[in-house]
Amino acid sequence: MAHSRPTQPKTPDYLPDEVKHGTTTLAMIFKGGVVLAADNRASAGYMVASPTAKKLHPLAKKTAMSIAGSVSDAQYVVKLMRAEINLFELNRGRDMSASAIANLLSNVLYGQYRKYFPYFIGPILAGFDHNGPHVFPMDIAGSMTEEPWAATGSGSPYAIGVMEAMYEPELEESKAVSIVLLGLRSAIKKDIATGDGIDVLVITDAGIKKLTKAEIKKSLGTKYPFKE
Amino acid sequence: MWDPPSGYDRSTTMYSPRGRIIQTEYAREAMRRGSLSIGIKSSAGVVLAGHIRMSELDIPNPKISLIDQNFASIFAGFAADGRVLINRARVEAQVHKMTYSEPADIKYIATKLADYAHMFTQQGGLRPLGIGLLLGGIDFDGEPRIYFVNPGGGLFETKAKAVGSGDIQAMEYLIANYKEDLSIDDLVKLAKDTIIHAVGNEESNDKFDENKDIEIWTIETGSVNIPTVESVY
Repeated sequence: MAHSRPTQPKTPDYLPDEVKHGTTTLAMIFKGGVVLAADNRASAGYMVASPTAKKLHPLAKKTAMSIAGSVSDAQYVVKLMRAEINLFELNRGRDMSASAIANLLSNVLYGQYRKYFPYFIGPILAGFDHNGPHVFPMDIAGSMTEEPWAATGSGSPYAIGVMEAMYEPELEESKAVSIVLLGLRSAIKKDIATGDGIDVLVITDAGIKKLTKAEIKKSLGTKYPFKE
Repeated sequence: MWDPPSGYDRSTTMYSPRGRIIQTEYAREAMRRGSLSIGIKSSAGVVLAGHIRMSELDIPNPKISLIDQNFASIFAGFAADGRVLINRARVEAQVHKMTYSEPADIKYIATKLADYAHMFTQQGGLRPLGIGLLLGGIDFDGEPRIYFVNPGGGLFETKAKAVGSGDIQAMEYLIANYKEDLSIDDLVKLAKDTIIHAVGNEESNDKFDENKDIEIWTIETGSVNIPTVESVY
C-alpha cells in the first residue's frame, strides 16, 4: 500500500510572518469517489488572520483542490487553473479529466519553481474521472504522486497518524468521511494553526457535493471539536 | 462603387483619393462569399443560425462556437480567420474572469476582436481578415445582445443581422419579418425561414436540405444561470 508523506510547503525564512500560514487539508479515496476536507483558520504567525477561510476550491465539475501555504499564491493558482480548464473544455468540447488537471497543476508549479520564485503552496488535487477517484498531493516544486490518501499543511502530522492507521481499500463513503474528519479533528485539537471550522467536499461521478454542518456533526458525533 | 484601377487597392495602408481603403472592401467581399450566418434577438433571447456548406462525405463541422457560458459566435468568410478570432475571444473571456472574477461583457470581447481586426488595416504587409463575425448571447445584466464585427474592425450592436452568401435577400427577409416581441420558437422559425429564403432558392444550392444543412443555437433570456464551478459554495 502506498504511503502518504507530509507535503507541507516550507515558506522561506526571509518572508514576513504575515505570509507564513498554517493549515490542515486532507483527502482520501473511497469506493466510487473521493473526500476532500480542510479547516477554516487562516493564520499569520501566531495570529488568527481569519476564522472563515475557504481552502477547498472546485476547479471543474468533478475536480477540486485544497490549498495550504501562501493564500495569495494559492488564490492566483486557483484562478489560473480555472481559466486553463475552461479553455481546455471549450477548445476540445469535452471535460478535462482529473489526472489531466493534476498534470497541468504540476506543470504550473514546476514552471514557477524553475524561475526561482515558486508558488508557496502545498495543494492536494482530488477528483473523479473515467479512471475513478484520484488524490494527487503536490509540493511547491510541482512533484506529483498519486496516493489513496494525503494530508498537507502544518497540522498534517497529526492527521496523518489517524489516516494511516484507519485507511483501507474500498471504503464506504461514510467511513472515508469519518476517517478524514477524525484526522482533521486531531489536527484541530493539536495544531495551533488549524481550527475554527470544517469544510468537506465529496466528489463522485455525480459531481461535487459540499457537506452541511449537520452532516459533519453527525459523522463526528461526540468527537465534534467545536462547542456549538 | 467601382474606382478605375489605380493601384490604391494594393495596400491596406493607403486611402484611395475617394477616401476608401479598398483592400478592406475586398475583404468584405470574401466575407460575403462565406456561408450565410444569422443572428437574431428579442427580449426572449438570442438565436444564432448558419447554413452549413459541405460535401456529402464531410462530417458536419460546427459553425457556431461557444465562447463562454453565456455567449456564442458565428462567422461567415475564411474559416481560418474565424478560427483565430474564436480562439482569441475565448482567451480574452478567461483573462477577464481571471482578472476581475466577473464574466466579461459581450461588448468587451467584441471590442477586443474588433481591435484585432482593425490592426490588419493599418499595418503594412498584412491582409485584412476575410470574415464577418457575430457574437451573441445573454449579458450578465440579463439582457440579450448581438454584436457584429466586420473585416475593417468596425463594430456595432444589432437586433438581427445576416452575413455571408445571400445576405441581401436574407436582410430583406429579416427586415420584413422581424418583430420586437418574438418568442424563442418564433426566432428559431424566423432564422430558419430566412436561410431557406436566401439560400434555398439559389440554383447553385440545389442540394440544400433544410433539415440537415442548417445549424441553430438558442440562448434564452433567464437560462443563463452560469454553471460556474464557484457556485458549489
